Amino acid sequence: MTQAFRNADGGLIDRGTRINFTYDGQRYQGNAGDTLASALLANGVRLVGRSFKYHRPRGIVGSGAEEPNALIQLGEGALTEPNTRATQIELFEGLVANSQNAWPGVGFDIGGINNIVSKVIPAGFYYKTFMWPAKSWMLYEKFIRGAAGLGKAPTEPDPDIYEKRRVHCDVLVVGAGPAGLAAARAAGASGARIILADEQSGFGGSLLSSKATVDGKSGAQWAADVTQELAGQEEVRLLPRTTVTGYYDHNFLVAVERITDHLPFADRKGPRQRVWKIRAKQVILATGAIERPLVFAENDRPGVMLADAAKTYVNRFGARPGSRAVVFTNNDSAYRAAIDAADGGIHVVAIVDLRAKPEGTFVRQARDRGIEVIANSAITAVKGAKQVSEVDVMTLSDDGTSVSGGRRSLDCDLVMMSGGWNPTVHLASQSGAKTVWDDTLATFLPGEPKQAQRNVGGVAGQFGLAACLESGASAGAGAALDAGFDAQAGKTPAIEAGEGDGELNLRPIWTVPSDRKGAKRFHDFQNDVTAADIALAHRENYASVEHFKRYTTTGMGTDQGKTSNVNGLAILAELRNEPVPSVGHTTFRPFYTAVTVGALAGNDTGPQLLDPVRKTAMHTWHEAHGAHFEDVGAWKRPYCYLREGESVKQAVDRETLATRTSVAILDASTLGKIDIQGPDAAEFLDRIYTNMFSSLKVGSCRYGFMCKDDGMVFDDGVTARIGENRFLMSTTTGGAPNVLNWLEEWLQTEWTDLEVYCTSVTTQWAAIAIAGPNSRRLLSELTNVDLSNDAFPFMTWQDGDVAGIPSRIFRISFSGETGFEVQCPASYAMALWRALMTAGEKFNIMPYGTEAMHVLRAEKGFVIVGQDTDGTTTPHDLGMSWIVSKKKDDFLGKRGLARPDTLREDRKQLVGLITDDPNEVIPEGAHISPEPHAPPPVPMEGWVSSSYYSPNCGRSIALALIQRGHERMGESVAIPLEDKVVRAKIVSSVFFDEEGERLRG
Amino acid sequence: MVETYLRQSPLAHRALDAQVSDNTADAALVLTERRFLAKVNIRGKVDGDAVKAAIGVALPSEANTVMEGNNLCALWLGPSEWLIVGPPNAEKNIEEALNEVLAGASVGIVDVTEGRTTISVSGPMARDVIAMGCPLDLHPRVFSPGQCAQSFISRSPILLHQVDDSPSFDIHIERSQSDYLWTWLETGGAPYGVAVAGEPETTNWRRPARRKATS
Repeated sequence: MTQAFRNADGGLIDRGTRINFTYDGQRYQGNAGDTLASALLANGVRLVGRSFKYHRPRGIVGSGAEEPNALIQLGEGALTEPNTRATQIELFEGLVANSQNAWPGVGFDIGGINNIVSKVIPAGFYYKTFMWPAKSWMLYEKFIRGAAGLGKAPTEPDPDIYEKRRVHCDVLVVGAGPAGLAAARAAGASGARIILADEQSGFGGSLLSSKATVDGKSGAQWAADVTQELAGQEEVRLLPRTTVTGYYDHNFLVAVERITDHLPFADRKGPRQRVWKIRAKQVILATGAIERPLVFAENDRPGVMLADAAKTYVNRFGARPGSRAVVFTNNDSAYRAAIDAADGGIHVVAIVDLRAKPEGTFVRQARDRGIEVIANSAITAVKGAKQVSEVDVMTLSDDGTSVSGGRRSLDCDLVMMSGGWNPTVHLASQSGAKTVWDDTLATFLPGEPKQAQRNVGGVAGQFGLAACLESGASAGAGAALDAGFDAQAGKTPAIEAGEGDGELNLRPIWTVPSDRKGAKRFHDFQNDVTAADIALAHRENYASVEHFKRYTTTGMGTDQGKTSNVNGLAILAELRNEPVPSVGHTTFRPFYTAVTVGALAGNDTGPQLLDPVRKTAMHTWHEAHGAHFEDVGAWKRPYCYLREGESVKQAVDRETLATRTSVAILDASTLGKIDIQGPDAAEFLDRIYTNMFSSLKVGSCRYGFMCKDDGMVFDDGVTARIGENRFLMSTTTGGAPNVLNWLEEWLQTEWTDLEVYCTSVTTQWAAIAIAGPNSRRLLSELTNVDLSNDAFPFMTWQDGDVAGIPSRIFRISFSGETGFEVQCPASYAMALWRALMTAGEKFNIMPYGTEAMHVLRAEKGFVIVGQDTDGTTTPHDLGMSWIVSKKKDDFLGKRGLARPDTLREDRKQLVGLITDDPNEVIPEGAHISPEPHAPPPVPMEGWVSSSYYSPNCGRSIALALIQRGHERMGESVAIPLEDKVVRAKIVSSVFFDEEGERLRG
Repeated sequence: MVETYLRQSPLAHRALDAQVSDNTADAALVLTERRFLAKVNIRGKVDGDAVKAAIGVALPSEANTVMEGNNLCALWLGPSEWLIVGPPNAEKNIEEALNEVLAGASVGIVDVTEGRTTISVSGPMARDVIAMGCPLDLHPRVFSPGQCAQSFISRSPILLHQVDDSPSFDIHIERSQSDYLWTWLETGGAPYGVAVAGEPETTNWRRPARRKATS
């Protein structure tokens, strides 16, 4: 295909560099500097998509982020990306693009049937139709979901890599048009740290598509020179192809840089995109403005385009979006576009102006060039199915609400429309600044800044080039000054923009009348919403902007209403007979344009990096010995060690039996350890624990319970007294950080008089539990410490070497067996573990995992906080009243435990359960019901908190929290499951060695 | 005497010695595990002069700064909290010297050597790679050699100490998360080039000679 609509010269494309690309299976050529949109237009492709609901043929409307129609499925396979805008895709060699939302193709689309039946599917159609009968929604949903959505997300994993980067600066300038460049230049000269970000590939913004000169050179040249000047400054960071997508508190902004998206695939290396998390002292928004469509009959035909977009295609890309143009406007800016289009080889048939007597500078210039101006008139019909072929023009009534007189038909293939300009207030609004309505411009402007922020250029309603350059320079200097730098605005560059620079003289006519009844007048192209839909929503009382938006879907979709919102609101305001600002607008939310999820994830993906993984000093040994890991908090802990051919249950049973019959060892390093020192340490622990610690002797340890102030069990563990003023507290694995925070909270906010210092030593010491009847014999082979019961009684500790490693030995047990815990410096833990395994060979030693540990402790009725408690469980509920001191004046939870609710007699209490069928293992979490066969909601009286098969008891065992459990020993209860009701008997929670002889033996 | 060959650093399983590159000059990011650096935490009402006399380094009073002396670094962690970092195997002697001089004072002195390791990060991309997950402003105007800060990299808490302006940083990291952080740094630096360097030499710590009181 030839580029039949490409001018021989002009614009910023490189005619010497041809680029091959494929669109909808057809091969085309463009040039370096093209976007996909400009290349398609140069090739004469006008039909680029089908609308969302009615599947009407659509063409390119805009030239940037605002594009509602030209949505592209870009790339193939795992690299495909849906809903990209042809207007923002830089052309690269080998680009493959496809249109969306049409089957079999955009030319003939089955879904077009929706357009024919559109009368019966107006706004709110789905809400009204699919409500009845209520239970059929599940069926409807399947079909509606199938019809919904535009492009297709890839199903393969994303092969690209992404990066996140934090960055700080003195001044962030968003937008590198004339105002942004002037701001960055003024601020940059001061030596301040500047970031200048712009979503386009090159800096210059409107200068790239304008014919104005600055400092005697073309706007594009001036922009290039300023960019080069900025690039030479050490503290200036230029971020082209970077969209600032969100503006949050404390001048925190998020930007997405597209690093390799514009390159041929073979040249792509490194991260595809980078998310910048920017913290700026000062922010300058130079985000420009987006032209507004006019809402007139059949205004969605391919070939109806924003006037400024047409000008951009001609001036910047040398691509003609049509051959014969009719311009339709309510303001002066379209006249300039008309003149540029005429200069670019487009025959401008006429300018149809809604104003009665247009007479600005550009109007005069257009007339002088011989372009016909049809004032006080409206386009009342656009003809042509897949491309505009003709428009009808009629005379407007004085009040602008109707048309009359003869119909004049104009032959054309392009309609350039302008309904005025909407400043891109998105980021300003996100920053917290309330928008304000400007009557002259008939649009919202950013209001008083709420953060250290300034608005310059188009976003501030300044449409003249001189005003943009001046306000930019002054804001740049001001921002640098406020950031602590000596800055000056400098001389404003001389411009030659012509008289009337920036004049609009706008006459808002929100709905352009037509003599054709029922002709669709779209204000939202992407979501197929018409002025009639707004009227319907209003009629049905969806008149608040929030209701109106959701009822009609105005402003939803990939463009988020960049072209449609203000028109929609203004039409609603007219219907409500109120001014636009009192109707208001919906919230501008991040992101400004859609962001690839992968970019937000950055490097933090995959099993290694999704979340920090904590590993003990023996982790690689566990890995090498068949450990089947489970996550406990961030820790990886061996659940059991699988031997060849073994099931998980077999492994757990084997480990559980071995512990009770010989000896086994457990990596207990993950349990929290907190070093507590200071003259008031004992007093502090007396307040923290429910039981007494000041009475503990140096060399001893004690099991303690902590409650929150409401009396509910919070954490538990064994704490040893290391010295008169020093304790070593242990906590649960998952609870360690919370406990340390809890201790610090009380020390720093309530008990500031206590001199106590807490330091986490969780990983300073590795811990190995040695359990089983042979544990003493094993350990005594590796240490000279006298381990006899008399010399080393239960619940004491001693320092000593184990396998030559300086260690601390504790006589404690969570298995109920004779047992020791050896703590050693973490870097020696692997050596100690290996020494124990080697020395234990004669005892058939084996490691045991967390599940065997759970079974063993459950056999003994030892609770696990967080499993057998749920934040509503007191020590008394657990049958552990002995751990609540009656002697102490106060402790955390004492008052909570005296509340009437915690004293209720029908509280759930911890008991043991044995099932009638000894092989039945009840699922943990199962409910216990007094009426298991009652219709839902089935009444419940408790739940099963722990449940295992106990090889040592030769049957299943369970712990449960059940109402009045303690007084119901021997009673039979029912546990309804999905397919049956299990019966069990309430028993003591201790299933094994009730006297504790093994423990103390 | 304990056999030191039994000792394993938290990143021992990575066999970093075997990965040490002959030429780290071309790498954008250079990583090193500094193994077994002595680390002693001090909290409480501390007599700074007594500490200086006992171990040879003064405690910084300015937030987020580091004092150096007698082969030790003293890192400010909070208004009444410091971390003394020294060469390997010095921790017991440092702890002992501090306990001696601060006996009876309201302080908490804890050896935390084993609970942390140190990953040294240097090279032209060092700041940028750290900034991929760390919210601190590491620009030379804001953060310079002799400064330290507690922060995080991605979701790991870290203690960051800028050692020189090459730039090079020591990141003190909880031992159980050091493997995660190493992977994270390597992944972040991968597109730009990562090399592993050998450990720098350290000088053994000696307790300063005790001067007699001049009274």
